[in-house]
Amino acid sequence: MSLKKSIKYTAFLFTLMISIIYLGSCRNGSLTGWIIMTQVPASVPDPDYTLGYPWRYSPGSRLVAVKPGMSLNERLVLTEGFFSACSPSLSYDGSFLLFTGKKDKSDPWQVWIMDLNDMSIRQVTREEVNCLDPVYLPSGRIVFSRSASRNKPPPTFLLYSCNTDGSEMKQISFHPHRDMASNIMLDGRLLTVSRQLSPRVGEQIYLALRPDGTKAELFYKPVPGGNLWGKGIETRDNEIVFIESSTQDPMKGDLLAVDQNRPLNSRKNLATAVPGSFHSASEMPAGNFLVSYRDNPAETYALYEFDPQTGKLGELIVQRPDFHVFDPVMVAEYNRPRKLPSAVNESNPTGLLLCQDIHLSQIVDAIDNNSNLVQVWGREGLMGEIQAEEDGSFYLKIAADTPVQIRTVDLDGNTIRGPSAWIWLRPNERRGCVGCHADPELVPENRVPMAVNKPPVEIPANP
Amino acid sequence: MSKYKTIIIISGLLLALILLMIPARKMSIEHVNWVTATDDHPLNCFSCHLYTQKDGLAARLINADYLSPLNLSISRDGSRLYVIAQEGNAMLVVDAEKDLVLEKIQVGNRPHSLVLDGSEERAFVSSQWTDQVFVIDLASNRITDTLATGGGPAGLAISPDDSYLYVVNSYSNNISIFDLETNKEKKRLRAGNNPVSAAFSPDGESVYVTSRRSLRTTYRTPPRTEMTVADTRTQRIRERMIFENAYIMENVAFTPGGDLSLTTLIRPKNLLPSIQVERGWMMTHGIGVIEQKENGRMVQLLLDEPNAYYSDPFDIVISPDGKRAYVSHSGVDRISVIDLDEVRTLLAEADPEELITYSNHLGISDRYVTERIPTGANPKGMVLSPDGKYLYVAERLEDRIAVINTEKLETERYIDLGGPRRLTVARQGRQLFNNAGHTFQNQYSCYTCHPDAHEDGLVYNMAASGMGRNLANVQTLRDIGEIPPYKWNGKNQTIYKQDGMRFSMVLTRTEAFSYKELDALVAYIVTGITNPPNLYNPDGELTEAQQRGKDIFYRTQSNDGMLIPEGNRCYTCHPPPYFTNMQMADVGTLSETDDPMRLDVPQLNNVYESAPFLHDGRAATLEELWTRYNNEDKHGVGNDMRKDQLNDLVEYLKSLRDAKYYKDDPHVYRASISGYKKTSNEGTH
Repeated sequence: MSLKKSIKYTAFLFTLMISIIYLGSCRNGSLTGWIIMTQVPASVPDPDYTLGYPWRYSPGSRLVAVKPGMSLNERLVLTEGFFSACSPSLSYDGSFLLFTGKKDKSDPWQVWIMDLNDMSIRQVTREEVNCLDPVYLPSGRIVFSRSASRNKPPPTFLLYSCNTDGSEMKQISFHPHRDMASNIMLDGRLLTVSRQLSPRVGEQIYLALRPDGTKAELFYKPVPGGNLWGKGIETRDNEIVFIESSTQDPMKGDLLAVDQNRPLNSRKNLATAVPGSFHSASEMPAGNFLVSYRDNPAETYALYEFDPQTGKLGELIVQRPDFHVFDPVMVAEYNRPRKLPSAVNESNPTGLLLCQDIHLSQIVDAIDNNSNLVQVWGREGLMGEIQAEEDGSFYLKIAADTPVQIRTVDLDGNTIRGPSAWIWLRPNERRGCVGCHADPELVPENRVPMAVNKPPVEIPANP
Repeated sequence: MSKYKTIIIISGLLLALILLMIPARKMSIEHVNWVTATDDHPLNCFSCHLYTQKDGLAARLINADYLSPLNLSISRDGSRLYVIAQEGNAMLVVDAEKDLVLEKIQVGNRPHSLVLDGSEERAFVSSQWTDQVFVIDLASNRITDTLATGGGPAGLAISPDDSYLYVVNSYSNNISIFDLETNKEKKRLRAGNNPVSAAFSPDGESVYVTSRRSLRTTYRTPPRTEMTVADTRTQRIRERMIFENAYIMENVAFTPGGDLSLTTLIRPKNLLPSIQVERGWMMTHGIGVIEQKENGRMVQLLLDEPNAYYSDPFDIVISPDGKRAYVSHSGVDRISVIDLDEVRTLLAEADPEELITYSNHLGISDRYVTERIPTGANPKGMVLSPDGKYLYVAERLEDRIAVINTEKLETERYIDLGGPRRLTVARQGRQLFNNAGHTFQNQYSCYTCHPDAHEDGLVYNMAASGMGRNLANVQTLRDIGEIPPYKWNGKNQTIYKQDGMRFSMVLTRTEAFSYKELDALVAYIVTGITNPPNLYNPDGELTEAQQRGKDIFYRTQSNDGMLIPEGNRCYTCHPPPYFTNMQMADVGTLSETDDPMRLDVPQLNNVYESAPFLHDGRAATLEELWTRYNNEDKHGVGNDMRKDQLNDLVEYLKSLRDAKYYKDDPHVYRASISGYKKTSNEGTH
């Protein structure tokens, strides 16, 4: 081989190698800047939001990608071959897409993952029951809602996490609730729409908890009768943006925001001048929102840009008479939330709960509160009764992953305060509360609770 | 020798080298894994063997001498800023219009504060580590006099008629009053514990002096920190006002109308088990307000929010119209802007019970905090321009002054003070140490419990094995690089482990430091924290009592002539230079709330600064170590001592200075990090 030829071959191989390296490094190149959305057939009737049913789990839904500014014909149906697919959620580097889908009408909903570089799809969960609303954790694992049973209405959905290949699946919420539409806040906590189902159906709330299931607490409560339509999105301005049903019309969605720093007391409507209904929203890297919106119920939900500074709708991006457009998200890199360390130790079958003062409460007493009796109730009934200390404190060791409710009672067993919301403790979790139904913005007083001078009371008591 | 032979020899040598590198690499990995208590730390020798160098050429090359602006003042016409460069050991004269440093005047070691006299002819600068106030003639920028003060002069206040200078002695816990006609100290008044700053009331009748540490309290009761009020006419203490359940009151200011005084403070939750960060379970931060009227109330208001904390409030300044206060939060790089009229309204409307609730309410700040202005790293002292239009902020770990437009509430520009441009690894570590961003919701930084890298004098319940158990007295971080293990139970063999993954699980409860950050943090802790001069032994000359105490410390026989077993002599476990043998011991000091364990023998350099004592802080004083907690002579033979002997021993202990003074002591204990041996009782990661 001549020198000239050798140089040519070498140059060719070198170019090929560089190209392969370059293309291989384009992790989020293929769809960057595109918008992925769920398209739901317009023929699907409006759901009854008041029962908490989400719209997006409908037959015939599909995930579609469009490039802003291009002809609407230039769209990409991402979930060909699926009976229905919805609920797209991006990895933080914009390379992968999680979604919920079913190949056949009779299949349960499962979690799937799409590599946006080569559009390959693989199944993550293979459960007998529905697995919905997946979202990436900063650690690389995923969280999703899994129903307790396939058909029994209204199904309990609880949170689970697993690796992206479906391995090491772990339950992380443990209460008779429906936990859905989770998202991750930048502080690393999960934010999930949670509704109590037993012993009676309660109102929806946003519940914040750590990815290991510890430290679950109320984050936001809608106005009475209000319903949360989907996930809360944290913006660059440190606000949580979400859709809540209008106080005037339960079938109309308002675009609201709360300050992440003070979510229980900072509710505001971002679009007071926009008359129609919002269904879902997300923030684009440049700061504007993508919203699904319609002027009136005769129309389908369409995809618009929305300027949160002016509170006005911007450009119409996608509108189809035959499909609603929901859950839009722009393919891009997003800030990765904090990776929170886990305090769970599976070898410890219990958790510890400290209450500083049962008499500290927002609820004005109607009954004599001289009693210091505290009852712990489980789903099957009374698990234990204890006497709180003189200073109102009590200290419990509770079987892990067991939902309990606390109530204070008088000497005749009448409830003074409670029952509390369902509480669970993960294995080895340590948790404190200031009082019973105390103001959630109140911090504990700095004093030694008398209860910690003794060993904790075990719930249930050891036989 | 043939060419082939050479090739064979070289190949053989290379092969041998490669074969040697395999076990060497394995050993290095094992070593790094042990030091870091991880199994995936990059094999980077620089982390420990370069960045943690304290002396020598390498240390000089990798480190830099920063200025670290701490406090500042401004001329009445707003044209000159006077800036204390704490680590540059200088006062800088800055042209505030041209943003130029005009003069750098060296003012001893670790200057702290400055004050200008009314005529602006003189500046007074306190030098905390040289126990002096420098008097500077501002026309010539020359030092004209030095005033000898008490220990650790910090805050300064000058009377409106320029006749008296009040100097807050932060280490000796008193206030020196200087007559400025004679420049002589006229009086010394007792202050609170670790007093730091002072301010005159607008009527000139009072001087308020803040303190950082709590007064001595009953064991396991809340901190109580003193605001000392001096009467300027009588030059006596008029009142000792106690802020309950608060500490670290860094600075104080009065409204121009004189209706309120405001101080920064922290409300710790050290008496609660440290089981969560959520809902303010560890630390809260705010201001203390004192109404300046008959029966005026003392009120504490938080500056935090339910999911966001504003840690380590440092300075507070008030606008000329008395309507706004600005608070620098050195832990979160923010300035809080407070609407004082809202505060006045809130105080007027609230009953006593509501005021107690407000002191623990995270939502109440929404009423009076109107803005949070971002700053550079570690904002400390502030000063307003005379017209109130500009707020100058000393960004200590940026070596610059931020100029904030108070109408727009935005930083308009920066004044570069001329410090080193490069950010050294240790300086990065210091930024991390001082920043609460690595704690869940920014609730506290390393600095919060370790102010000035020392300790805060509180006892915490980390509740590792159950709530209410194993209480831990916060330990100093000064000069700890060479005295492993760490934690009272000695479970951490290195600082790497101490601040690594488990640290994030039990303390910061958010994402752990990256290895790069951990390298930087360790570099700072090992190289950047030194002991201040010893208050009781500034020059190494022991007093007679200290010398007698030294004899007791090194004695081998008890008063009755009996030989004291070697293991029961003071110096056996507490040998110089650090006065610790770095071993684990049980000296009979465990209490009912402790699990069975042995304890790491603590170092004793500058031990007088670390009350309370023992691992759980039960001993309020050094004396109590023997009078209350050594009944069986397990903590050294001591029950034979007479009272005068105990007094002498305590005097000697208080005289123990920085370890560098004892390196050549005949009793020195030779040990180092590499010499520290893992013992069977040592925990694993």
